[in-house]
Amino acid sequence: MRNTTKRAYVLFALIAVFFIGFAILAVRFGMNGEKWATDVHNELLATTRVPSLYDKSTITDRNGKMLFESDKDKGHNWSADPTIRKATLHVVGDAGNIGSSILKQSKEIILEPTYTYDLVNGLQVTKVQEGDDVDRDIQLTIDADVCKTAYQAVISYSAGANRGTIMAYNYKTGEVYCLTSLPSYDPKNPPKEPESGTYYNKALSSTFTPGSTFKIVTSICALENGKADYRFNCNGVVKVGGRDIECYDKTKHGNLTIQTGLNQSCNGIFSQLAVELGKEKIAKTVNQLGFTSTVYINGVQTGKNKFEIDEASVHEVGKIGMGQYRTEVTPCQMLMLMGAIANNGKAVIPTLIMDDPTNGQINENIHLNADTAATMKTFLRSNFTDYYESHSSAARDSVIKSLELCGKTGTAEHIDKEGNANDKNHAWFVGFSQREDFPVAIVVCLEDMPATAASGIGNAIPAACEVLKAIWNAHIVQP
Amino acid sequence: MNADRKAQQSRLRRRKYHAVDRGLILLILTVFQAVIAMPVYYADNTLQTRLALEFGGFILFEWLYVGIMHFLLKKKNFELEFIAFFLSGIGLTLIAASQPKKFETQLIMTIGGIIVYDILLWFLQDVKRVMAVRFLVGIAALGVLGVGFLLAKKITGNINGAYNWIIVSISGYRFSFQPSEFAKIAFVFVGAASLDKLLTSKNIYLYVGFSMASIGILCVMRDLGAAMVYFMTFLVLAFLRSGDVRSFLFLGVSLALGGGLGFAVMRVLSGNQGEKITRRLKTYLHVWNDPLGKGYQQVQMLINSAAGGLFGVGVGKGIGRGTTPEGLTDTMFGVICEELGWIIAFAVLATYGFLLYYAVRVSRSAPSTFYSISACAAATMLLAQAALHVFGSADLLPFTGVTLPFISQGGSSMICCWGLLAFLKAADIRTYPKVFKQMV
Repeated sequence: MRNTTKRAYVLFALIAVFFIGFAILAVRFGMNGEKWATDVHNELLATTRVPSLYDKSTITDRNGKMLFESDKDKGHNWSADPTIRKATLHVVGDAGNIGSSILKQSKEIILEPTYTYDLVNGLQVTKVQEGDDVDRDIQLTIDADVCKTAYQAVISYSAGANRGTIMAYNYKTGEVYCLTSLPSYDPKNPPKEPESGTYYNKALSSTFTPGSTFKIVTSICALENGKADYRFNCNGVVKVGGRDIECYDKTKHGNLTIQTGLNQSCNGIFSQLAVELGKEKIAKTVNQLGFTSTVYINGVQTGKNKFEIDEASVHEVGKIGMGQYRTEVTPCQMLMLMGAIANNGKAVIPTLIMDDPTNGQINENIHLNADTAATMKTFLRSNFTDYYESHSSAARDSVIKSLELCGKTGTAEHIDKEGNANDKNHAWFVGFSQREDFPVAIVVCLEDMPATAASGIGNAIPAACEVLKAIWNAHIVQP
Repeated sequence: MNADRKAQQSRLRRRKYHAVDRGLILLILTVFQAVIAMPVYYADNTLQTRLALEFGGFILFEWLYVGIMHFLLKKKNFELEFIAFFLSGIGLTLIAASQPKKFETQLIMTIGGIIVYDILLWFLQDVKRVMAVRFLVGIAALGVLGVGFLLAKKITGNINGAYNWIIVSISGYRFSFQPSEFAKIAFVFVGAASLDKLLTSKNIYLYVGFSMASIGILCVMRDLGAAMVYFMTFLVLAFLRSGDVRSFLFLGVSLALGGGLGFAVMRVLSGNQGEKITRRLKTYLHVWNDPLGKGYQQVQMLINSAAGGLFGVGVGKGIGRGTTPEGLTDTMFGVICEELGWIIAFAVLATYGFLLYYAVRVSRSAPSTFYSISACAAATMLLAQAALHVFGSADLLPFTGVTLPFISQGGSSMICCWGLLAFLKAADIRTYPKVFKQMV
């Protein structure tokens, strides 16, 4: 009893330790309070930013067409064309719902709130008042009419799903000519209950199962690991890790090389190839192609791609090789990959703002050997000359043929959070023109189409072709 | 010994407060609670009738409780209850500001906690009874942990990397239970009761086995925060009791347990499971390197706490409560700093220190070693948990996501805290005057 009570006094040491921690915390608050409270990640400061409440500010497209203007007396206004308003919503922005938009994010047009800080009162934030006498104008790189064409193309080719994104850019300068994302809405009349995904810029922030477009990554991995001469005999079905992997309609593709495998988008060859290359090499290539990193586009961070391979079974590695399993990518990531292949291995980061000081930066996360890029270019070109042109009337169009397109289609099963495929598919096309005087790359992702209607060749290629023709006809490319 | 007892009795006499003193303290507490909750029940310049009634009800409950205890049951000391009222009131106010539904649940749970507290107090007055049920309680505790783990895994699934929640919805009110919280009371109870009668080595082995099993289950649940709190409490229990040879045994076992805990942590770190916990531990001391990812909760807590200043931005006006889903549980201390200011926040911290100080002081004169040890162990548990919460969210310790005692939103945590408080109260000689007289 007595010993116990004496020993209990040692617990005062515990109290002392607690109060020392307490003192350290107090000192830290005192010393770092201002630094912490005014950190860029303070969401109060971020949400108190006021977009474009100046006397007179405008956002225009690359041709000077008005997309947004604010006026002290007249308030905010958007383009007169309702389709353009919807087609450019995710780039331009509205009253603040689209987090990644220019109106919400651009330092050019945002007035940071003013604040004071002292230890007694903490952080005091003052909003910028409307009517401050400032003019700011931003010229965007997008072409409003091309965006409109893209918006309409998503609607025409998505079999009623009306979801998805098209983004096209100049892979030498980084200028984005077209970026549209659906579902969208009219910023003049924002909906009370928007459809799911409305506020996301699907090209930059959302991730999708890449499907067959990911076979490009598997091919690059093979090229860089001494398997350029890989051969495979396709019987329509192949056992990978004890379970079947089927080609579309169980088509027997016969004897294949990587190039002819890409042409016909054989699942067997790429799942077998992935298994033979092994997890480590696949993961290394995925990392080297920038899939495990993000970039900032005019200050907005792109969405994080998902890639898991460590726990995958042999069969699942096969699935990864053909672009299924848990892999998800942002359309922008695929666009930059196209940029890298088209531009001798160097991917220019897209930009939406003309004359932004960061324009033309190379994505340092993508390391692609120039020789591999050149080989991939011939493979992707062969997809058009040896397959798509005979299977798609859009690809046979004379203007499109003159653009010397390279690319890859994909039809991806939408894998939900539980890892099950539902009856919705994404139709993909990623590609570029190899012409020196038309350095344009494009990504089309038609999201959640009815599985029976979704097809990369049938839907995504025609949509891409319409947009590329619009860019060509607008004569906006300066090589 | 005789002199000691005389001193105790004289102290007893001196401590005869007048009812007025207690009334005054309660009045000050009432004013404090009414003032800090004002932005909640008088929001947007209109009286929020329902919330006002509920807050009024809570304050009335405090008065009734103290009144009944004082006038009918002739209780004289209410320090612990006042502290718990003070802390619970702060928690309730902060929760009500943005979560009126959860506030109502929390209010019910607070009253439930007080009932548990009084039942436990009644039960603890008979040491023989305590000794008689300790095996049963020990088995029940392991049962609650084990079954709780299985139920959590089956019904609720993985929450933040751990299987420690059972969530049930009853007519729109969401009740969540954490088995590890209820078992805390039993852990202290069994620990103090079996150590009080440490006569045979069989007893020691049984007790050590019990402790290892409890902490082991918590590790399997991946509730590392709770495991650390239990372990700390085990060390204190062992230390208080260890005398001669046994101290070596205890030291050895403690080290083994510590090693086991470390091993479990390593397992979690290297395995594919428990990614969220792993991330939290890996981020320790590096939260500013990944302010949007792994360090998000802590960075937001520090930013928003710093923004509060000495007097805070006002209840409900902070943004820390909304930046993460666990704002009102895992980083509740940050919400206090931000909305009520550092003065109140540090006063809150000081009360946890005071609880252990109180336990040590009352344990000197407690009528039985069981009371001394259980009071110190319970207070250590509360302090350890407060320390893990506060210093964990402020990145001075690894962030394990434990609740702040009496304040964080969460029913089982609230009930557990009141239950632990009963051990402190039971050790106070003024609580059971009859028992004390018999002993003397």
